[in-house]
Amino acid sequence: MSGPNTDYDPVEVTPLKAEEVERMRDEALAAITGAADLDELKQVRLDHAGDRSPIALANREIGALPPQARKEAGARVGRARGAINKALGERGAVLEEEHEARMLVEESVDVTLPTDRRSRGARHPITTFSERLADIFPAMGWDVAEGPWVEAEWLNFDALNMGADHPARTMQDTFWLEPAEAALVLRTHTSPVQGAHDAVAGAADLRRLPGPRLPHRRGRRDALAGLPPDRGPRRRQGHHHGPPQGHARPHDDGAVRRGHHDPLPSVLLPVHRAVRRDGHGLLRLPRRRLGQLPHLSRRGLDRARRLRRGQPAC
Amino acid sequence: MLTACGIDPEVYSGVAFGFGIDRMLMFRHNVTDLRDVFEGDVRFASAFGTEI
Repeated sequence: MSGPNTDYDPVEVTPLKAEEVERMRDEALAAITGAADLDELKQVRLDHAGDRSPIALANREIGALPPQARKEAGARVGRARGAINKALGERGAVLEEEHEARMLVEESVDVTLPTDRRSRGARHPITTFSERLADIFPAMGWDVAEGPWVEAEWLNFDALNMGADHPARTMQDTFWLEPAEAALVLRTHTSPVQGAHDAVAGAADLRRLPGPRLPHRRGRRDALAGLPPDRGPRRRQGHHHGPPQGHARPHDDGAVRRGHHDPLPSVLLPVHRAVRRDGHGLLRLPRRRLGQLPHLSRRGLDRARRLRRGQPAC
Repeated sequence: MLTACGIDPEVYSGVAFGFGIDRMLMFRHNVTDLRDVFEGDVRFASAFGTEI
Protein backbone atom coordinates (compact mmCIF):
# COMPACT_ATOMS: atom_id res chain seq x y z
CA MET A 1 0.00 0.00 0.00
CA SER A 2 1.19 3.43 -0.81
CA GLY A 3 1.19 6.14 1.70
CA PRO A 4 0.98 9.83 0.97
CA ASN A 5 3.58 10.71 -1.56
CA THR A 6 5.84 13.30 -0.09
CA ASP A 7 9.26 12.11 -1.15
CA TYR A 8 8.86 11.94 -4.89
CA ASP A 9 6.51 13.19 -7.55
CA PRO A 10 6.04 10.60 -10.27
CA VAL A 11 4.22 12.12 -13.16
CA GLU A 12 1.98 9.11 -13.54
CA VAL A 13 1.36 5.64 -12.22
CA THR A 14 0.83 2.97 -14.90
CA PRO A 15 -2.34 1.33 -13.51
CA LEU A 16 -3.98 4.71 -13.27
CA LYS A 17 -3.61 5.66 -16.90
CA ALA A 18 -6.98 6.29 -18.51
CA GLU A 19 -6.63 3.52 -21.07
CA GLU A 20 -5.44 1.10 -18.41
CA VAL A 21 -8.46 1.82 -16.21
CA GLU A 22 -10.75 1.43 -19.19
CA ARG A 23 -9.12 -1.85 -20.06
CA MET A 24 -9.71 -3.12 -16.50
CA ARG A 25 -13.27 -1.94 -16.64
CA ASP A 26 -13.95 -3.54 -20.00
CA GLU A 27 -12.39 -6.83 -18.93
CA ALA A 28 -14.55 -6.81 -15.82
CA LEU A 29 -17.71 -5.99 -17.78
CA ALA A 30 -16.95 -8.76 -20.29
CA ALA A 31 -16.40 -11.25 -17.50
CA ILE A 32 -19.65 -10.19 -15.83
CA THR A 33 -21.59 -10.58 -19.04
CA GLY A 34 -19.99 -13.96 -19.61
CA ALA A 35 -20.88 -15.31 -16.16
CA ALA A 36 -23.42 -18.05 -16.79
CA ASP A 37 -24.63 -18.64 -13.28
CA LEU A 38 -24.44 -17.28 -9.78
CA ASP A 39 -21.34 -19.27 -8.88
CA GLU A 40 -19.43 -17.94 -11.85
CA LEU A 41 -20.61 -14.44 -11.05
CA LYS A 42 -19.33 -14.84 -7.53
CA GLN A 43 -15.88 -15.67 -8.86
CA VAL A 44 -16.04 -12.71 -11.28
CA ARG A 45 -16.92 -10.45 -8.38
CA LEU A 46 -13.86 -11.64 -6.48
CA ASP A 47 -11.59 -11.28 -9.51
CA HIS A 48 -12.76 -7.90 -10.74
CA ALA A 49 -14.26 -6.10 -7.77
CA GLY A 50 -12.66 -7.72 -4.75
CA ASP A 51 -9.91 -6.39 -2.55
CA ARG A 52 -7.20 -7.98 -4.74
CA SER A 53 -8.75 -7.05 -8.07
CA PRO A 54 -6.72 -4.85 -10.49
CA ILE A 55 -9.10 -1.96 -10.11
CA ALA A 56 -8.90 -2.08 -6.33
CA LEU A 57 -5.10 -2.21 -6.47
CA ALA A 58 -5.11 0.71 -8.86
CA ASN A 59 -7.31 2.61 -6.46
CA ARG A 60 -4.66 2.22 -3.81
CA GLU A 61 -2.06 3.72 -6.08
CA ILE A 62 -3.92 7.01 -6.19
CA GLY A 63 -2.06 8.08 -3.11
CA ALA A 64 1.20 7.75 -4.99
CA LEU A 65 0.17 10.43 -7.46
CA PRO A 66 1.06 13.98 -7.04
CA PRO A 67 -1.74 15.82 -5.28
CA GLN A 68 -2.92 17.62 -8.36
CA ALA A 69 -3.34 14.37 -10.27
CA ARG A 70 -5.20 12.52 -7.55
CA LYS A 71 -8.56 14.07 -8.15
CA GLU A 72 -8.70 13.17 -11.80
CA ALA A 73 -7.39 9.65 -11.26
CA GLY A 74 -9.78 9.11 -8.36
CA ALA A 75 -12.74 10.14 -10.44
CA ARG A 76 -11.65 7.86 -13.28
CA VAL A 77 -11.21 4.84 -11.05
CA GLY A 78 -14.40 5.63 -9.21
CA ARG A 79 -16.39 5.72 -12.43
CA ALA A 80 -14.88 2.43 -13.52
CA ARG A 81 -15.66 0.79 -10.19
CA GLY A 82 -19.15 2.21 -10.27
CA ALA A 83 -19.72 0.75 -13.70
CA ILE A 84 -18.38 -2.63 -12.60
CA ASN A 85 -20.52 -2.72 -9.48
CA LYS A 86 -23.60 -1.64 -11.37
CA ALA A 87 -23.02 -4.36 -13.96
CA LEU A 88 -22.46 -6.89 -11.19
CA GLY A 89 -25.72 -5.93 -9.55
CA GLU A 90 -27.69 -6.10 -12.77
CA ARG A 91 -26.19 -9.36 -13.86
CA GLY A 92 -26.73 -10.78 -10.39
CA ALA A 93 -30.39 -9.85 -10.45
CA VAL A 94 -30.84 -11.47 -13.85
CA LEU A 95 -29.07 -14.66 -12.82
CA GLU A 96 -30.99 -14.83 -9.55
CA GLU A 97 -34.22 -14.60 -11.43
CA GLU A 98 -33.17 -17.32 -13.85
CA HIS A 99 -32.09 -19.48 -10.95
CA GLU A 100 -35.41 -19.16 -9.20
CA ALA A 101 -37.34 -19.78 -12.38
CA ARG A 102 -35.32 -22.91 -13.00
CA MET A 103 -35.85 -24.09 -9.43
CA LEU A 104 -39.56 -23.65 -9.85
CA VAL A 105 -39.47 -25.99 -12.79
CA GLU A 106 -36.91 -28.50 -11.57
CA GLU A 107 -38.04 -28.78 -7.99
CA SER A 108 -41.73 -28.66 -8.53
CA VAL A 109 -43.76 -31.45 -6.95
CA ASP A 110 -46.92 -32.77 -8.47
CA VAL A 111 -49.07 -33.31 -5.44
CA THR A 112 -51.61 -35.18 -7.52
CA LEU A 113 -49.21 -38.05 -8.26
CA PRO A 114 -49.77 -41.28 -6.31
CA THR A 115 -47.66 -41.47 -3.19
CA ASP A 116 -45.12 -44.21 -2.59
CA ARG A 117 -45.89 -44.21 1.12
CA ARG A 118 -47.88 -47.29 1.79
CA SER A 119 -49.08 -48.87 4.93
CA ARG A 120 -47.18 -52.05 5.69
CA GLY A 121 -50.44 -53.89 5.59
CA ALA A 122 -52.67 -55.37 8.18
CA ARG A 123 -52.90 -58.56 10.14
CA HIS A 124 -54.98 -61.00 8.21
CA PRO A 125 -58.45 -61.58 9.64
CA ILE A 126 -57.75 -65.32 9.67
CA THR A 127 -54.84 -64.67 11.99
CA THR A 128 -56.74 -62.48 14.38
CA PHE A 129 -59.74 -64.75 14.27
CA SER A 130 -57.74 -67.89 14.99
CA GLU A 131 -56.12 -66.16 17.93
CA ARG A 132 -59.49 -65.15 19.18
CA LEU A 133 -60.60 -68.77 18.98
CA ALA A 134 -57.43 -69.85 20.75
CA ASP A 135 -58.55 -67.61 23.61
CA ILE A 136 -62.13 -68.78 23.71
CA PHE A 137 -61.59 -72.52 23.69
CA PRO A 138 -59.09 -72.72 26.54
CA ALA A 139 -61.41 -70.50 28.51
CA MET A 140 -63.96 -73.28 28.18
CA GLY A 141 -61.43 -75.84 29.31
CA TRP A 142 -60.33 -77.12 25.93
CA ASP A 143 -56.81 -77.43 24.69
CA VAL A 144 -55.34 -75.89 21.59
CA ALA A 145 -52.97 -78.44 20.14
CA GLU A 146 -50.00 -77.41 18.06
CA GLY A 147 -48.35 -79.63 15.52
CA PRO A 148 -45.37 -79.73 13.19
CA TRP A 149 -45.48 -78.46 9.65
CA VAL A 150 -43.69 -81.55 8.41
CA GLU A 151 -45.38 -84.79 9.26
CA ALA A 152 -44.59 -88.43 8.62
CA GLU A 153 -46.63 -89.94 5.87
CA TRP A 154 -47.74 -92.65 8.22
CA LEU A 155 -49.15 -90.21 10.75
CA ASN A 156 -50.71 -88.05 8.08
CA PHE A 157 -52.43 -90.85 6.20
CA ASP A 158 -51.93 -94.45 7.33
CA ALA A 159 -52.70 -93.84 11.00
CA LEU A 160 -55.98 -92.27 9.93
CA ASN A 161 -57.04 -95.32 7.94
CA MET A 162 -56.46 -93.61 4.63
CA GLY A 163 -55.64 -96.29 2.11
CA ALA A 164 -52.49 -96.45 0.04
CA ASP A 165 -54.47 -95.42 -3.03
CA HIS A 166 -56.37 -92.59 -1.35
CA PRO A 167 -56.52 -89.67 -3.79
CA ALA A 168 -55.40 -87.21 -1.11
CA ARG A 169 -51.94 -88.79 -1.28
CA THR A 170 -51.41 -87.72 -4.85
CA MET A 171 -48.97 -85.02 -5.77
CA GLN A 172 -51.81 -82.72 -6.60
CA ASP A 173 -53.10 -82.56 -3.05
CA THR A 174 -50.01 -83.15 -0.99
CA PHE A 175 -46.55 -81.65 -0.88
CA TRP A 176 -43.97 -84.39 -0.54
CA LEU A 177 -40.51 -83.72 0.82
CA GLU A 178 -37.40 -85.13 -0.77
CA PRO A 179 -36.07 -87.74 -0.62
CA ALA A 180 -39.18 -89.75 -1.23
CA GLU A 181 -37.85 -92.58 0.95
CA ALA A 182 -38.13 -90.31 3.96
CA ALA A 183 -41.91 -90.45 3.53
CA LEU A 184 -42.42 -86.92 4.82
CA VAL A 185 -45.19 -84.55 3.79
CA LEU A 186 -46.24 -81.06 4.64
CA ARG A 187 -49.05 -81.87 7.01
CA THR A 188 -52.26 -81.61 5.04
CA HIS A 189 -54.77 -81.47 7.85
CA THR A 190 -55.05 -81.19 11.60
CA SER A 191 -56.05 -84.72 12.46
CA PRO A 192 -52.47 -85.99 12.93
CA VAL A 193 -52.03 -83.29 15.58
CA GLN A 194 -55.08 -84.55 17.32
CA GLY A 195 -53.70 -88.07 17.27
CA ALA A 196 -50.37 -86.92 18.64
CA HIS A 197 -52.10 -84.88 21.30
CA ASP A 198 -54.05 -87.90 22.48
CA ALA A 199 -51.00 -90.12 22.34
CA VAL A 200 -49.03 -88.03 24.80
CA ALA A 201 -49.58 -89.50 28.22
CA GLY A 202 -51.12 -87.00 30.57
CA ALA A 203 -51.58 -84.37 27.88
CA ALA A 204 -55.02 -83.65 29.18
CA ASP A 205 -53.55 -82.73 32.54
CA LEU A 206 -51.03 -80.22 31.31
CA ARG A 207 -53.38 -77.31 31.45
CA ARG A 208 -53.98 -77.90 35.12
CA LEU A 209 -50.40 -77.05 35.94
CA PRO A 210 -50.05 -73.86 37.90
CA GLY A 211 -48.73 -70.87 36.08
CA PRO A 212 -49.83 -68.58 33.29
CA ARG A 213 -52.82 -69.91 31.50
CA LEU A 214 -52.81 -67.95 28.33
CA PRO A 215 -53.25 -70.38 25.47
CA HIS A 216 -50.56 -71.37 23.07
CA ARG A 217 -50.78 -69.29 20.00
CA ARG A 218 -50.32 -70.39 16.50
CA GLY A 219 -50.53 -68.81 13.10
CA ARG A 220 -52.01 -71.76 11.36
CA ARG A 221 -54.67 -71.29 8.85
CA ASP A 222 -56.41 -74.64 8.84
CA ALA A 223 -59.20 -75.92 10.95
CA LEU A 224 -58.88 -76.08 14.67
CA ALA A 225 -59.17 -79.62 15.83
CA GLY A 226 -61.72 -79.87 18.57
CA LEU A 227 -60.06 -81.49 21.54
CA PRO A 228 -62.56 -81.90 24.31
CA PRO A 229 -61.40 -81.56 27.88
CA ASP A 230 -60.16 -84.62 29.66
CA ARG A 231 -59.83 -86.56 26.50
CA GLY A 232 -56.79 -88.75 26.38
CA PRO A 233 -55.35 -92.04 27.38
CA ARG A 234 -55.85 -91.39 31.04
CA ARG A 235 -59.37 -90.27 31.00
CA ARG A 236 -60.29 -88.38 34.09
CA GLN A 237 -63.62 -87.35 35.37
CA GLY A 238 -63.01 -83.72 35.99
CA HIS A 239 -65.51 -80.98 36.42
CA HIS A 240 -65.08 -80.14 32.75
CA HIS A 241 -66.49 -83.27 31.24
CA GLY A 242 -69.57 -83.03 29.16
CA PRO A 243 -70.55 -80.34 26.72
CA PRO A 244 -69.78 -76.73 27.60
CA GLN A 245 -72.54 -75.04 29.55
CA GLY A 246 -73.44 -71.51 28.69
CA HIS A 247 -71.04 -68.83 27.61
CA ALA A 248 -67.32 -69.18 27.83
CA ARG A 249 -65.62 -67.77 30.88
CA PRO A 250 -61.88 -67.63 31.40
CA HIS A 251 -60.21 -69.81 33.98
CA ASP A 252 -58.58 -66.81 35.45
CA ASP A 253 -60.06 -63.36 35.22
CA GLY A 254 -56.71 -61.77 34.56
CA ALA A 255 -55.53 -64.27 32.01
CA VAL A 256 -57.96 -63.78 29.19
CA ARG A 257 -59.25 -60.51 27.98
CA ARG A 258 -62.88 -59.98 28.67
CA GLY A 259 -65.16 -58.92 25.93
CA HIS A 260 -67.00 -55.76 26.72
CA HIS A 261 -70.50 -54.67 26.10
CA ASP A 262 -69.70 -52.39 23.18
CA PRO A 263 -67.20 -54.11 20.96
CA LEU A 264 -65.58 -51.91 18.38
CA PRO A 265 -64.95 -52.99 14.84
CA SER A 266 -61.45 -54.36 14.64
CA VAL A 267 -60.50 -51.85 12.00
CA LEU A 268 -60.54 -49.15 14.64
CA LEU A 269 -57.95 -50.82 16.77
CA PRO A 270 -54.32 -49.95 16.24
CA VAL A 271 -53.36 -53.04 18.19
CA HIS A 272 -54.71 -56.47 18.50
CA ARG A 273 -55.32 -58.26 21.78
CA ALA A 274 -55.10 -55.89 24.65
CA VAL A 275 -53.22 -58.36 26.76
CA ARG A 276 -50.51 -57.00 28.98
CA ARG A 277 -47.09 -58.43 28.35
CA ASP A 278 -43.51 -57.44 28.81
CA GLY A 279 -40.50 -57.82 26.61
CA HIS A 280 -40.88 -56.33 23.17
CA GLY A 281 -41.14 -52.69 22.38
CA LEU A 282 -44.64 -51.69 23.20
CA LEU A 283 -47.08 -49.78 21.16
CA ARG A 284 -48.33 -46.51 22.54
CA LEU A 285 -51.96 -45.92 21.97
CA PRO A 286 -52.58 -42.55 20.36
CA ARG A 287 -54.36 -40.33 22.81
CA ARG A 288 -57.07 -39.50 20.32
CA ARG A 289 -58.06 -43.16 20.25
CA LEU A 290 -58.39 -43.48 23.99
CA GLY A 291 -61.80 -41.91 23.99
CA GLN A 292 -63.01 -44.56 21.62
CA LEU A 293 -61.53 -47.44 23.60
CA PRO A 294 -62.49 -46.96 27.21
CA HIS A 295 -61.77 -50.56 28.14
CA LEU A 296 -58.34 -50.79 26.67
CA SER A 297 -55.22 -50.82 28.75
CA ARG A 298 -53.07 -47.87 27.78
CA ARG A 299 -49.70 -49.35 28.50
CA GLY A 300 -48.14 -52.64 27.62
CA LEU A 301 -50.14 -53.40 24.54
CA ASP A 302 -48.80 -56.32 22.62
CA ARG A 303 -47.21 -55.55 19.30
CA ALA A 304 -45.57 -58.82 18.41
CA ARG A 305 -46.47 -59.31 14.79
CA ARG A 306 -46.04 -63.00 14.43
CA LEU A 307 -46.38 -65.84 16.82
CA ARG A 308 -46.33 -64.75 20.41
CA ARG A 309 -43.52 -66.20 22.36
CA GLY A 310 -42.25 -65.69 25.81
CA GLN A 311 -44.01 -65.52 29.07
CA PRO A 312 -47.13 -63.50 29.47
CA ALA A 313 -46.66 -60.97 32.20
CA CYS A 314 -50.14 -61.04 33.56
CA MET B 1 -72.30 -90.58 22.48
CA LEU B 2 -72.95 -92.49 19.29
CA THR B 3 -75.82 -94.33 20.86
CA ALA B 4 -77.27 -91.07 22.12
CA CYS B 5 -77.18 -89.77 18.56
CA GLY B 6 -78.92 -92.82 17.24
CA ILE B 7 -75.85 -94.30 15.60
CA ASP B 8 -75.05 -97.93 15.96
CA PRO B 9 -71.60 -98.19 17.53
CA GLU B 10 -71.29 -101.68 16.15
CA VAL B 11 -71.38 -100.27 12.66
CA TYR B 12 -69.65 -96.91 13.16
CA SER B 13 -66.70 -96.72 15.48
CA GLY B 14 -66.37 -92.97 15.72
CA VAL B 15 -67.24 -89.53 14.51
CA ALA B 16 -64.86 -87.07 12.94
CA PHE B 17 -65.65 -83.50 12.20
CA GLY B 18 -63.72 -80.58 10.92
CA PHE B 19 -64.76 -77.03 10.49
CA GLY B 20 -62.63 -74.64 8.52
CA ILE B 21 -61.72 -71.42 10.22
CA ASP B 22 -62.13 -69.77 6.83
CA ARG B 23 -65.78 -70.69 6.75
CA MET B 24 -66.24 -69.46 10.29
CA LEU B 25 -64.69 -66.15 9.30
CA MET B 26 -67.15 -65.91 6.43
CA PHE B 27 -70.09 -66.28 8.79
CA ARG B 28 -68.70 -63.87 11.31
CA HIS B 29 -67.83 -61.07 8.91
CA ASN B 30 -70.31 -61.74 6.14
CA VAL B 31 -67.60 -62.43 3.63
CA THR B 32 -69.44 -63.37 0.49
CA ASP B 33 -66.59 -64.82 -1.52
CA LEU B 34 -64.13 -67.14 0.18
CA ARG B 35 -61.52 -66.42 -2.46
CA ASP B 36 -61.06 -62.95 -1.03
CA VAL B 37 -59.68 -64.54 2.10
CA PHE B 38 -56.86 -66.29 0.25
CA GLU B 39 -55.97 -63.91 -2.53
CA GLY B 40 -53.73 -61.84 -0.33
CA ASP B 41 -55.10 -58.48 -1.34
CA VAL B 42 -54.00 -56.09 1.36
CA ARG B 43 -57.21 -54.12 1.03
CA PHE B 44 -59.11 -57.12 2.30
CA ALA B 45 -56.87 -57.52 5.33
CA SER B 46 -57.02 -53.79 5.98
CA ALA B 47 -60.76 -53.85 6.11
CA PHE B 48 -61.03 -56.74 8.52
CA GLY B 49 -57.70 -57.05 10.25
CA THR B 50 -55.77 -54.56 12.27
CA GLU B 51 -53.34 -52.33 10.51
CA ILE B 52 -49.73 -52.65 11.44
